[in-house]
Amino acid sequence: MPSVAVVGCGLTKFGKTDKGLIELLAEAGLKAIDDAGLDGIQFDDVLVANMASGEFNGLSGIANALVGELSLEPAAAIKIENTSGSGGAAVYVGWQAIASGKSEYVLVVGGEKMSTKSSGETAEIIASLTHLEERVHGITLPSLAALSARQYMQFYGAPREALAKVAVKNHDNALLNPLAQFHKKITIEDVLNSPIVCDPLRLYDYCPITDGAAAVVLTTLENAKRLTDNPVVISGIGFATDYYSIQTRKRLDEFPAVRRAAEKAYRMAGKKPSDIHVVEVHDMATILEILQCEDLGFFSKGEGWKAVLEDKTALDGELPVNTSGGLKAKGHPIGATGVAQVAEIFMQLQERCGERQVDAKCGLTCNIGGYGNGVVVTILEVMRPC
Amino acid sequence: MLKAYRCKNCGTVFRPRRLRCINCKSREFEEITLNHGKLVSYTLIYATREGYQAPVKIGLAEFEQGVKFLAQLDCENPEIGMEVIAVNTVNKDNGNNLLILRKP
Repeated sequence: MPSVAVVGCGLTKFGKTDKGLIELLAEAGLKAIDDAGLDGIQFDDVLVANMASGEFNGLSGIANALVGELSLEPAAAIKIENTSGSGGAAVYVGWQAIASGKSEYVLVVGGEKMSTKSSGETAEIIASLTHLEERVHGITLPSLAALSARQYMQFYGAPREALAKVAVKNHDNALLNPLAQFHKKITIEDVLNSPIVCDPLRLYDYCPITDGAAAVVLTTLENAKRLTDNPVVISGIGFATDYYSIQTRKRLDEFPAVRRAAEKAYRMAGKKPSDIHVVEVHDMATILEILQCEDLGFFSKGEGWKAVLEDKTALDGELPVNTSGGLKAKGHPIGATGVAQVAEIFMQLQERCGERQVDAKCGLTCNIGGYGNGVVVTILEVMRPC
Repeated sequence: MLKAYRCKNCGTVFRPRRLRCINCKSREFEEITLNHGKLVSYTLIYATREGYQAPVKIGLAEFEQGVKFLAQLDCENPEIGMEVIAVNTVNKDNGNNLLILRKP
């Protein structure tokens, strides 16, 4: 089975833009092709991660549109949808395509153009991913994070400030990421005084509505060695689902699918949590970063909030989390996120992150579809002798 | 009335309904009624979806045999651990019948 390498990445600026969805996808895709130095190569597969091009943009067939825009014909072109885990799912499928020997060059592009709709309409579009018996009550995705936050704080005695500090940290990191949506330093007081979105969580606890796209190029390790002196491999990847209905789950302050996807990825890579040097997790809300860091095995259950307060997850801490700024401050163009996470770890491992560069030879991404419904965990490693 | 499903093969109780048992994948169930719940978590939604009036109160309650119910919560000053029941109401936002959580 061929080892699968990442050989290039490209991202658009995240935020609100006048550019259309296809334009964003094409911009990120072309940047990734150029970054890989593969302008003349015929790609086997073009995988486009996106949740709701129909609802946000009135578009279908976006993978074919991208192939047309970049003259990638006759590559296979597939849209991959796993809600906010679409990007991770596309990387997973791209990994399978190369690992199986079926494909040699795969372009994975994720993107979402969300600013076309009002925040109420956006909440409605996103809530379409929930179980109908729960949706009829008016729940939103942010409200599920609020239920988790209250249960976690009550059960483990976590202070409200610990959640707020996740937002402060991720805004600090985003200040060093030119492509992030927010370049604004915030304080714990700013978070605690921002408008309530879903009690007990407030505006600054949540990721914004974002337009943007991200892309990576996957190929075999053999090809990667010819393309770069600094190859990065996907040494572990795991995908796991959990109960579609939230109320079927045992607790809301844990994500069993994160644990299971991580177990698969760790086993495949022959790694344990202490081997990981840098992490991108799915911080749709501040509480989710804490829960995932626990479920990924970095901190004991109920202890993740202490690690945040002790700056262990800061850029200069023992395990930097969300160096990109995370969904919280880099932005969360839904379909782009899982791809952007892999791109960030790829760039960290290739020491291309400028002011936010950390010392890392092995990194991990955790991309969540739905509310812990479909989770992809990816482990990337640098192949140079250490 | 809040319903749950008990698997005729392994006895596992779950809800909402699915075609196969969550534990043993068997396909035959009997309906049971759940009567007494305790609030596990709650939230007040201020950033609501289109067509809902803020704040939408949502509760998650645990009923008999650990079965949970996520629903609108009709009560002032909710507290984790308080007793709740499931009652039929007409949804104020769209006029549909809706089973919600309330104090007994």
